[in-house]
Amino acid sequence: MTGNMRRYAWLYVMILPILIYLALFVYYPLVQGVISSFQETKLLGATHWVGTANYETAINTKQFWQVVRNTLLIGGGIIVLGFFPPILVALALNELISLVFKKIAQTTVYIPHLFSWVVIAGMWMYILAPNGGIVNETIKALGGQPISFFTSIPWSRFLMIALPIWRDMGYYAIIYLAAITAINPSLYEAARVDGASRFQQTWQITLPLLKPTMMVVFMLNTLGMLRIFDQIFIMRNAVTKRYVDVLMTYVYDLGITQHKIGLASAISVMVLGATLVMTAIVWTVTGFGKEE
Amino acid sequence: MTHHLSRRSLVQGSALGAAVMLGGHRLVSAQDVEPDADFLAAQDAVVERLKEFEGSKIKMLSAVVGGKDPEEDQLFMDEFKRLTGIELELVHPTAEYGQKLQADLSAGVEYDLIYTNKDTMDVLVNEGVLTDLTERIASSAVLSNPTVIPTAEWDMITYDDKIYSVFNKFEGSRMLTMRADWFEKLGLDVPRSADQFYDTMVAFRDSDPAGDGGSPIGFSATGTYDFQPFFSAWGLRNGYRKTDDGSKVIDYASDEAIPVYEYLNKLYSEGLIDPNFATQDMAAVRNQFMTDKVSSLCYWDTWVGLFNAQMAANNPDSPFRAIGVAGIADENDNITITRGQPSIWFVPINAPNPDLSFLILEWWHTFDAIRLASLGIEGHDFTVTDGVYELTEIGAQHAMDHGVPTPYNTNWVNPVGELPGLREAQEITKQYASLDDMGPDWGPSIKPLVDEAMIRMILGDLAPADGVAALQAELRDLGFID
Repeated sequence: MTGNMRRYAWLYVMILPILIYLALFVYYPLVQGVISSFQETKLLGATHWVGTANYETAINTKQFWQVVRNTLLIGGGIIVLGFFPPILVALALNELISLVFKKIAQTTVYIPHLFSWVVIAGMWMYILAPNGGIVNETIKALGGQPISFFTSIPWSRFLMIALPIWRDMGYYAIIYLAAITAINPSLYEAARVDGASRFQQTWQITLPLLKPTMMVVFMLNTLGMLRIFDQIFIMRNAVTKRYVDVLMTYVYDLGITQHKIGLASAISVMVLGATLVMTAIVWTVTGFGKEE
Repeated sequence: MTHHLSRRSLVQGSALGAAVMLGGHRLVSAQDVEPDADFLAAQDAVVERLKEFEGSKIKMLSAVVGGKDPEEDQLFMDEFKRLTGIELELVHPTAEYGQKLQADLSAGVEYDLIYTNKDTMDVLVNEGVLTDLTERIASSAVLSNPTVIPTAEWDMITYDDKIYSVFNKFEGSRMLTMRADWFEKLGLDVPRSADQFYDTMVAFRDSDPAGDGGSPIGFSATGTYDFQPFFSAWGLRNGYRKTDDGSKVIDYASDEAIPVYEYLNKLYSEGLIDPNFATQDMAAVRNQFMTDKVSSLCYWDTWVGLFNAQMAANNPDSPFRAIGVAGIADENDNITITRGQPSIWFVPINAPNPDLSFLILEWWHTFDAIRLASLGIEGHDFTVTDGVYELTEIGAQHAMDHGVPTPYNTNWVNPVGELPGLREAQEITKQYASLDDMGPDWGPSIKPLVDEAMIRMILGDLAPADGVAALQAELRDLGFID
């Protein structure tokens, strides 16, 4: 062991900066957060231990369970409804024959992923504005009543799910497309020799071989489910706040706006724990990481 | 009862008639004020005491005080040093001020002075973060002088007979702001009742006052705060208060508020309220008002002057003339306007040099500081030639606001002039505005519920009677009302 350490000493030296970085900026704040969750924290001055009081306060608060429901609804909606569209886009892109058109289409579907949520929210608020927005002007021209999309509770929830799917569809499609490109062409040739149609080739070859990529994407989305924040923080408003606020915006409100650091930390720790549990479940159910 | 425009427009017109163009801005000559002798002596004493600290350093965390960009922040710090002999480190975040404030306090970063507002101070007082300044203020010849800060004002920031902060500037009020030139063009009176206000908005919408064939929306807003003048018409106040008999009252959730929501829903359903009001920001509302798309808004009194100055600078041929309107009176002819929450400076308990911190707070209300925090940096924002002050082009763009556009000190006379219409608007503030009672539960717990219900009732998603009943039930369930 000592011999190995000496032998690979330069590798350990090379890894040291990243270990220091992780220790300072990831694990120290994490540990500090766990400690804070058991304390009543003053901004300046003494803090004192309160045991599990912050956790008890959280789980006995109606608002906490409301944001848990919202998180599961919106986060779950993004995972479930957003799972297949990128695959369909990737399959469609793969069918394009013109290389130029394929590149243009790839770029077009990928571009929204590059936009910040501020830009996306501003753009869609402009498109869906009750007064002057292209959608509502069309509805009015057709004789309908304008819809206040961002202040309608069902519509705003739908938008919180649909816009992330729209934004990230191109990104995940590129991942799937890369996986499709890596599939051995001889499999398709053999299928064509056997008389398989294009649909059969997709169903019998492409989709099964995309399964590992699907699991990676599903796992990534599951890991991020409880941490959604940006789109909610930017697009929520006074009417919809209660119906779209998620765990992370709730933590922000408690910790930053109301200076309840201990309570916010307790909820953050619960989110971390829940994420680990969910990941383990997904890992087990999907058999992620096991050789087929 | 109505005020005919002719009286108001005479005042406004004479003010504009006396306006002068300085640095591209149309400004009004300021009134002469004879400074209080005690104040002048106290001011000189502060300047003398500053010399004892010459070469010292001070670190301030600021949200609004300073330059308009990092380069001007540096000029601001240089000018501060020139005026005081103290080296200033100004920490001036461009966004997320609350987050920065909390992060730095949590991390124990040492500041000499920190800027915040009363809402945050309510929390910080309980956190034990603030230095008690009661004795120092009482013995300060500058700050205890009522010509500098009216004595009654201190009540707003007194907690159990203790004062932990000093005002940054005089806070105005948010009032209805309308177009004086449109009133004149259509021969209309300034409205004073809810019915008159409705008629005025309809007239503006239907009579093409801008002459461009458009139909200006009657009222634009951002969120719910701007609807306060309409509640005034029914004698209701914003916020959460306890009456003398211990009852807990939220006017906006009371049965008396139902007619207000019915009225607002009527305005909305007839297209008189901007349908984007729940989601747009104030920049959009200001833009609508300055481009003839909206006939009224509710905004800070200072902006009456800024609207006029900006239009005069950018579009001198425009007939645009904004005026502050006192508001909508109730059946007893009373008007209430909500005054802005105090903005303050406090000395954190870990400040390295509290004596110097407090001395700077005293200096903050002297002429040199006011000139710096209003006009800006000499040679950059304004020039002085033979005692005549003139705004530079940059200074005109900065509209005499470097954190203190409206100082408390009544001895101060702006040497450049005043923004047109501002003085009249501030008179309305002095006559009608008062601070809302809110308390620590209002912001995080009550306001979100009231906002949600209010917007849904205005939009027509909830019938006002049902909406108020549901809101009351929820507030009662949470123990906020009896």
